Amino acid sequence: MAEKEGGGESPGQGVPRAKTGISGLDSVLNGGVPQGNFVLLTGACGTGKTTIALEMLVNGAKDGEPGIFITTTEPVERVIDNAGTFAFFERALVGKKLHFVDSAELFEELHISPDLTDKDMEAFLKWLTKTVKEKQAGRVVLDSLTGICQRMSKSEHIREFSDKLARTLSKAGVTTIATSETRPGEMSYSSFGVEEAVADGIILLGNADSRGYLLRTLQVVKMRGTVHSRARYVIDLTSHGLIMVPMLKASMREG
Amino acid sequence: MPVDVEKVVQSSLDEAAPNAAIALMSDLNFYFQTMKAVVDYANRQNKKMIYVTSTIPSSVIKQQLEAEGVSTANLYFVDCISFIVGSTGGEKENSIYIESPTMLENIMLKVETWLKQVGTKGTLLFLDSMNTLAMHNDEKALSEFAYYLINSLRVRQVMTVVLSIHEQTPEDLEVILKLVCDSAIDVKETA
Repeated sequence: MAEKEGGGESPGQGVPRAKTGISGLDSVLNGGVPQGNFVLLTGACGTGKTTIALEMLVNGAKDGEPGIFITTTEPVERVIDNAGTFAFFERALVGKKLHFVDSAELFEELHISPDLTDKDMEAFLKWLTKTVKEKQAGRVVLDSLTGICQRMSKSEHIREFSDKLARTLSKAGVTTIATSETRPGEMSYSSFGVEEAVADGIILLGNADSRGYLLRTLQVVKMRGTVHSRARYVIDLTSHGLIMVPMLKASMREG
Repeated sequence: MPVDVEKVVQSSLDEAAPNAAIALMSDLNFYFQTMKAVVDYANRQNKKMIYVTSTIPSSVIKQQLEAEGVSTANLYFVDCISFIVGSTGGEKENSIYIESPTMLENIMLKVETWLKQVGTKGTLLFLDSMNTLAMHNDEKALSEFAYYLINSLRVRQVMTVVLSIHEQTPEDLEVILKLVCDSAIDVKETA
């Protein structure tokens, strides 16, 4: 559940937080993601975007804040089966505090055309607003934003859609984690180069070579409404969820 | 003068604060007795012990302790040596393997993994040993690692015991240990 941040004179003091429930990450974010932020969780394939987004959503639900997970990449059953392999996941929450939606089925239901016209965007956002209200959702995961944006041919449309999506959800007080694909080794925050402009926050996942071994990394690049660390952390995706520790300077020098 | 290893170790740990960091500087001849005394202490205090080994494979440590009648039920290993000597033998309960003792961040991550599972309350971290880690890592990296690991445990009330063998501990490493630990105890015969 969103909580008021503790004391201190820092920017963002008193801003309600959506705690991620991931101890290292909440510390980095000075208490959690500011409530209502639209956050891009970005990285190449296999960097852990879906797992981390899911963990944040599940932890919110366990804390009494309902969440909606919209999948564009795989069927709901597969997402839930995969989630079931993690100790943090509680199947009993599904349908109560956790709601999974397959975008392919949803788009069919809403008669949304493959190239996502303005009318289609409106229909989707209308559905989202209604569903958030119905489910009293405080968190939404869109996995992935890239999957939806790929349907659009022009970057103006992508920017417009991302902007409208972020505004709609922020207005509803919803904290959103939108995953975004980047190419391995590429120094960018999104597939189309425009999504990051509308995001309140960017959490970058990647890999780092350290003394001949590949480490998974996480870095909060930006987060409006709070002071936060911009250091790079080494992460591990375990069956008990995300674990993170600071990256040693020696590894950065030798990497 | 002969030394009563068990007594030296036990009294040092008994007197320490619950979140203290203790460096045990042991003679090579007393390595096993020192290690056994730390495990005995943890067992007697009903502490769970996260045992980071870069010296001897966890399976061998378990065998040696069990042969002496010491319970290993509360030991949770982060094993940095079995993999490189090809003796992991698949997944084992209470052991997490790391590919190389050079992967210091991975050691930190696996310690966190165990802490997430066993909790921090009444848990002791045993680092065996600093001198073997020094064989695989440069001084700066090891110093940074020790600072982070010990202090992150200290704030969570986890006791840390760092073992290092006198004869194999370079002077610089000894300085680091004395800096990051609350006390450094010599386990050796006195003149």
